[in-house]
Amino acid sequence: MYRYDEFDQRFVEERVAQFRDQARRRLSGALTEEEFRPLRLMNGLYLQLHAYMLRVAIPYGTLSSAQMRKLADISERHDRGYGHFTTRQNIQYNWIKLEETADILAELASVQMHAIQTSGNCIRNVTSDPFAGAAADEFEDPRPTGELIRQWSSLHPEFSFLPRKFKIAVTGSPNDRAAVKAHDIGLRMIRNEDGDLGYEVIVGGGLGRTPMIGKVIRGFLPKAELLPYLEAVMRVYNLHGRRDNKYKARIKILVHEMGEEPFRKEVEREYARLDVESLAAPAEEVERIQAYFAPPALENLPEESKAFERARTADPDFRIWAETNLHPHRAPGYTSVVISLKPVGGAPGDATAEQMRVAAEAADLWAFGELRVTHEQNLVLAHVKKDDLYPLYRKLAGAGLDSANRGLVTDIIACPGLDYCALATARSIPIAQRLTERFADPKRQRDIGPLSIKISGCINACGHHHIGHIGILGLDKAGAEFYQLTLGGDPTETAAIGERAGAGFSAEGVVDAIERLVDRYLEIREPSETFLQTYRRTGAESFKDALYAEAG
Amino acid sequence: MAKAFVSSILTANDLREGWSVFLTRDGRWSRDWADLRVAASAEEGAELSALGAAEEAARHVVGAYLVEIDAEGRAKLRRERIRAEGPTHRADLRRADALTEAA
Ligand code: HEM
Ligand code: SF4
Repeated sequence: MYRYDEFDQRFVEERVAQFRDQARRRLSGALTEEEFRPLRLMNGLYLQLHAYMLRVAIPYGTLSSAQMRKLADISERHDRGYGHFTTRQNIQYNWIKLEETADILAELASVQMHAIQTSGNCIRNVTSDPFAGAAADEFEDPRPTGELIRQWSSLHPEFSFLPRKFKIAVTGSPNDRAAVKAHDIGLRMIRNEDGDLGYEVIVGGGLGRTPMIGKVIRGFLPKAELLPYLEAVMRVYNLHGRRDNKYKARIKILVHEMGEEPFRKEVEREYARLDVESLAAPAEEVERIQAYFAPPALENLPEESKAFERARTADPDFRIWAETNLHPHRAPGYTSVVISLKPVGGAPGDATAEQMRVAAEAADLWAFGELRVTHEQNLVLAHVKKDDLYPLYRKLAGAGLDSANRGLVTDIIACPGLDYCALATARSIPIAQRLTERFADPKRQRDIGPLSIKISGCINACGHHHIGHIGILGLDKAGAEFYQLTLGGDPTETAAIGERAGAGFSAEGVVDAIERLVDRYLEIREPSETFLQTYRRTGAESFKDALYAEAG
Repeated sequence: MAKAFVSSILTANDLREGWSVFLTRDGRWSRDWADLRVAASAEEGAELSALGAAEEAARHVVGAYLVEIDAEGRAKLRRERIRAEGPTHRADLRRADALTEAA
């Protein structure tokens, strides 16, 4: 797993000292709020609806058990005993004190964590597949690519004052679990006809008020050319991206306004001008990074586990959990485990200090001391022996971490919404709570099958609602919360922006409306068809009359 | 025509601790929505705003602004009620006397 080298460690420590001084100067009056605001944002500290909010980076969503314990400690010592894991694979604390922030950053630095580049118009923390390095369908671990980009972009003078924030996602598998087409740049590893590995480069995706699916601007980029090519993309963006209007400043607008083909040509022209050799990452550096992500020492195991089979037969709850919350591992006898942070009636992505500790302990006992945070706001143990699944499950169950719902209707993504967010127009979390209660019955959930509901509390779309099979956008209509539905969104390699279903619903009405949608799907689906497949086959019309039946 | 003034109270965030606070009748910043100083006219509103600016300059608080209240003395906007009473998704995070409907 990645460790800071000495230089990084010193850099992070200097930033902590710098922030300590800045906070002191703010409190003594040497800095006004206007002067201080950009400085605190550069360190992940926002002023939110109730208090300061601190956003801590979890690069590529990977963290050690020691880091997870530190996150638990911080939530207890400096917050109210819980934290919120987000769609950006990071964690947010909601109740942070300015006067304690430098201490928190120092504590984070002691386990090589930080809050840098979680805010501001820079290249944000790179996100990737939560099953990176473990998934059976993966060409290669995408995290070394993420790390290479991080090192290249972190202190790049040209890129710290971009027109707007910039988000990059990487997947090493043809099955996109990192929503790469909804990012400013998405990289998807592929093999060409010669069997060489490279990237499909996708540019100009994004959500927010102008949702766009990214465009493929290079079908195959040889691996070694990654940084020079990204450099060319960033230069074109820096040169032509709009700085006059922050709503038009993202690269998606540039690609859209220039047109896909002219943009591609511009990038290729810039690329032809660059000294590719000197900009490419040196091979030793790539190897060094690769070594940080070296896979753990896996044993040679038979594919089937007798202990697992026995437990499955003996404990029906375990069997149900194992059906949904495991993900195929590349090594026989191993599996990845999804720890759902979506209990019925809970806030999606919230975990208490105790739950974080239990997850850390489980990682130590059975998963090489390593955890992942997913953009679906769950946790993952990447490398677990099937033999160990039952004791692991029992441990998780003891802390309320055994929800058997990965990918099902109650595995809802929700942004903090009006319960926490100063920008919100409506609440998100309570809608998730009502929906999980409505669909709590495990049998019904499994009958419905794969279905993702994603909720945002305003048009900024932090809850990814545009790419939910069912998206919910919370708005305000004359003082009342009001929810608009989109249907048919898809975050994967077949990415699509959901279509507006029609008039919105009240907070009370939206749960019933979704239940009617789901019932309609159950009525009209063909055998083994998922919600999304049925929607694509039959179109919006067959759902609309169910949605608006009551109104008529 | 100028918009009729709506009775308002003064809120901000505590500079050091960050929590939302409300100005009381006796000039303290309190986390509790109780015994608040109310501006009932445009003049009193301007006075209260000026006081907020002075309190920011004195580095007691950050982001001071007026919050409109209704006849019962509650914030008119849901956003402001949630800000005063705490997140609505967990009873233990809310003030015991919270009135805002859970969704
Ligand atoms: C609570 C404080 C937050 C604030 C003030 C905030 C603010 C924003 C804003 C202004 C945008 C629109 C940017 C644009 O389109 O240029 C945005 C987008 C986004 N935010 Fe947040 N956000 C917050 C929390 C979160 C959380 C909790 C998550 C993760 C769950 C998140 C993840 C995202 C994502 C994924 C987008 C997608 C749009 C995109 O960048 O294309 N944000 N946020
Ligand atoms: S979508 Fe809106 S309400 Fe939700 S976290 Fe983002 S900015 Fe806040």
